[in-house]
Amino acid sequence: MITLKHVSKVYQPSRDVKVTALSDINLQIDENEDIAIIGKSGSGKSTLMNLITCIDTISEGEYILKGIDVRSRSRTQLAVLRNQHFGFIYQNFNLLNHLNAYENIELPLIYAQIKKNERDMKVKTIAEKVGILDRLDHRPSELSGGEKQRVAIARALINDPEIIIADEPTGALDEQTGKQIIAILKGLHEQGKTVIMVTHDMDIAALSKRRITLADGRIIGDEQGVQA
Amino acid sequence: MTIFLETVKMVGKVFRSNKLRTFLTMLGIIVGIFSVTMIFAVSDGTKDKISKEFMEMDKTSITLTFNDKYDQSSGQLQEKTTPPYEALQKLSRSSKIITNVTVSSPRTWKEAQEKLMQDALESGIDSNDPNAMYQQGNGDEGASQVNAVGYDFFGVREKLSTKVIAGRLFTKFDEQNQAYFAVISDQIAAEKFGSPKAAVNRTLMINNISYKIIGVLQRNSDQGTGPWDEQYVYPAYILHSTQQNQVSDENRYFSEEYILKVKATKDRDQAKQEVTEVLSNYMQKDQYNINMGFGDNQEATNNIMDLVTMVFAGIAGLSLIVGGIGIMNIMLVSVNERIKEIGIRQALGARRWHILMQFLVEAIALTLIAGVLGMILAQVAVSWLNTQHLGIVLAVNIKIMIAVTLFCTAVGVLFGYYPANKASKLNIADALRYE
Repeated sequence: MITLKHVSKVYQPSRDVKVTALSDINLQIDENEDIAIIGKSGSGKSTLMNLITCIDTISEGEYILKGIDVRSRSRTQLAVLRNQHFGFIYQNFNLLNHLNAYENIELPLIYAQIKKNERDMKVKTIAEKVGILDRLDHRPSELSGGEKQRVAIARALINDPEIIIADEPTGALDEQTGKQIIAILKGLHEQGKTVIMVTHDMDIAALSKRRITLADGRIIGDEQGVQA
Repeated sequence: MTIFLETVKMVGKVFRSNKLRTFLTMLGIIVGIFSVTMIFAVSDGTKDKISKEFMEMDKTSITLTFNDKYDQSSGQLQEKTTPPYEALQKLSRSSKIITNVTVSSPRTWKEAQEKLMQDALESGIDSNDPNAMYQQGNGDEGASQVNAVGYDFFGVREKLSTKVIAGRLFTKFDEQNQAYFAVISDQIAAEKFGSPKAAVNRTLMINNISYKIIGVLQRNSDQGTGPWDEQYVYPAYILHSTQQNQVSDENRYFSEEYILKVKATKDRDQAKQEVTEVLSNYMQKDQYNINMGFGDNQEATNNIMDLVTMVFAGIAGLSLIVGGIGIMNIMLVSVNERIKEIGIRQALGARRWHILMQFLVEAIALTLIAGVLGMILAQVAVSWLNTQHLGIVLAVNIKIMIAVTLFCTAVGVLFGYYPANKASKLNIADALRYE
């Protein structure tokens, strides 16, 4: 589904300064995978995620997503791709604070130009699935960390994308709540989605079926198998 | 189309959820429109009033005053200057441009006047209002001011001739017969006789002499008239010719003014020449003054107007610039605050045009609503101020108001849209990181 060949990402913040965030990345990701991406701070984890989800552009190499050559796509087309194939979950939730839970979850549907009645049905269905149906009229400021992440998950699922990206999803949560969120994500994998989780927590990484290790902008490890 | 409606709904949510920021943005526009509208309202009102006062001036008359000769050192009266009334009358008959020569000679009696002034000061009466002073004193003994005039005085001072509310004015016949007639003000008529109609044919005592009342004049009811206007209708008018036959009275103050009426404003220069010629046969130059009045200063008037306009426009312009900067400021800050939001929306699939449309609609809605509010506020303020008797009438200049509203809208839209445009082009990953 996702193929990266010799992909690199170089930043040039000023004329004389060049920063290579990623170099020579070769990666293949299929349907229904359960992946953890591990690495220290600055290893390029987030950059890799940004490239995969098309919110940043690759400097060199090739990226094929579901048969589409991403580099050849315009910004608008990429927006559509994101809307349809990816669901994002962030450490800091990245919800819009002036909208309530319902409106946050609904947002991707609006950009997919789905009509109001259909939207309503979908939002309620998904909210029930993640267990926040009763909190839909609350603003993020009125929700607990766990509830906010559930809203984020609901938003990520609303367009039924094949790939879920979670960037340190439990980073802002306590252990108990964190476990609940991980459980939900594992559940999604069981339903057939590809779940890619970026984390620096080895215990959480151990729960994934595949672990990709990054260091200094390169992949230094790619192993399968759940460690008990 | 649905996406437009969705955008409008979204914009409504944004406004409601961040009322303070929305309000602050609108405030700059509202204040800008309000202040510029008010400045022009005051400016127009002021210019109007100045114009009116200049218009009110009698542009077709020349006044002559005469100076008695006094000894420089001792201050003693050397020679009384006697105006050649007959000669002047002859001039008005022969001149093609001078139509009337008449006299206006207000006089008051010394002792009584002094006492009245004192009383007035104590009781707070306007000592400039002859009618007020008349009422204060016992008018019958001549404590009041009267104006001894030529029979055609009311014709020359046109404004007065239209204010007869009972009886009649003097005629040439009255003057020739040196009749002891008086024309009085409506205030005195009401005071002494109950009503203007009742006053006609009754007797009025002035300085111990009785006069028959033949007419009543209405006081000028305009607010705030200038010194060139016959604001105060004298308590009583008597014939100048009659007065002259009286025994000279050391006890009175008087001034004499001869008024020449010309056919048209442009004739005044020529009239001045004609009068000078006649007078030179009777007296020296320093014994008389010719006053042309203000009417010929049309150009000066216009220059003053233009200056007033420029000054006010300058102030208004400055005010608008300041307002505009305020709008710019808040717009830029607003967009800056929302870079992360723009990033999130785009990550979720918003196209650039979604973002642009949202911010464009926001900017337009904000500025237009603020514009309308500003206009309403200005109109309300102007209406209220006009009930407060300020002396000038404020008028809202619709064209200016709309122009300013459009200007503010343009500024708001430009500075709301342009930074949003930039933000939407940002690398989404960077936008998401923006704090």
